[in-house]
Amino acid sequence: MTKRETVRVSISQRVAEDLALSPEVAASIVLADLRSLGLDSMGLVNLLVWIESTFGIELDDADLIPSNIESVQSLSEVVYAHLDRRDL
Amino acid sequence: MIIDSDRSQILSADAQSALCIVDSAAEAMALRDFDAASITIPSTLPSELIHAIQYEKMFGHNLLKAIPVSVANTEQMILSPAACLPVYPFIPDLLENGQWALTSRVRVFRNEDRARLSAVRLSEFSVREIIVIGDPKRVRDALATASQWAQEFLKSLGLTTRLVDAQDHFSGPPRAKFLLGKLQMASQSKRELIIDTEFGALALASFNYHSDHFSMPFGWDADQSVVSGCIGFGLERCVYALTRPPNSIDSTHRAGGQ
Repeated sequence: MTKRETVRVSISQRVAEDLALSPEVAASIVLADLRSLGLDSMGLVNLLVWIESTFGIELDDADLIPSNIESVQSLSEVVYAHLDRRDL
Repeated sequence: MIIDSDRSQILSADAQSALCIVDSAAEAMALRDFDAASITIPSTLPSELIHAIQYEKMFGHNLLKAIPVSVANTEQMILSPAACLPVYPFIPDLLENGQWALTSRVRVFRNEDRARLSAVRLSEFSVREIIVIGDPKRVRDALATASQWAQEFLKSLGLTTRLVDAQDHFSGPPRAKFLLGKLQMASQSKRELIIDTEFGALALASFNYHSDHFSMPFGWDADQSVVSGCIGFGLERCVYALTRPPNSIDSTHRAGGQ
């Protein structure tokens, strides 16, 4: 599994857990709109705090624009970009 | 104007008149531009409602408990920390025949740190509130219309204001508070009309886009297209701005938004 895939799977599993979805559906929610799945503002903030501590990154203003935080896919790309920059 | 910065305030006749002028003008705008229904909003709300919208997680520091409303009713009542909160469970009952806006003058209570209280940061204050319901564009447009009206109205009274993106003062762990604030700024969900005073930047009115924060938990967004927004005019702050002594300086206080 590539680093990008690892990030995506970790975040989708965390979202599925937060929303009390079965682990089997985690892969199918990657592109879904997080709000449509039922993730509210507090849920999103808790997810972002978890992402920062799990991946050892600090999200900045540019990361938090709506299009970056609308799905597991978009969040994963933000995290991957941070990790990629850090590993250069 | 005499203000007891602890809990209450006594307004001079001139200040009372100024408060009524601002309140009446904002109400008239809501009735004229949004066809708003005038309603009375109580200043208490059940703790159950606070839990439903997770208010205590984001703004728990604001809450003041009230006594139960009767011997038989032991449910904890909360003094409303925001003017519009008590109405959201009842939106479908309050809006009839195509109406999409509500307005009321409301007394609001916040558990402010006593050390931070000042002439413009009170633990109870009056708000002219306007609540708008509809699709996202309609609500965003209403907030823009109201902010433009407010800026022009206050200018006509001699106050030069600035409209700025703003964020609330959240509760919780520091990083969570920081991220909530950043998310609020990034989504442009809160704007304030501010003036510069000896207390620092002072918000006279706020324009808030809630998205589905209220429509979702209270079940009136069946097709996920109904959102809400609110406009609040801090009436005592407007009075202060209109009547403040020109050279009064109190650099120990900083006001910020309500």
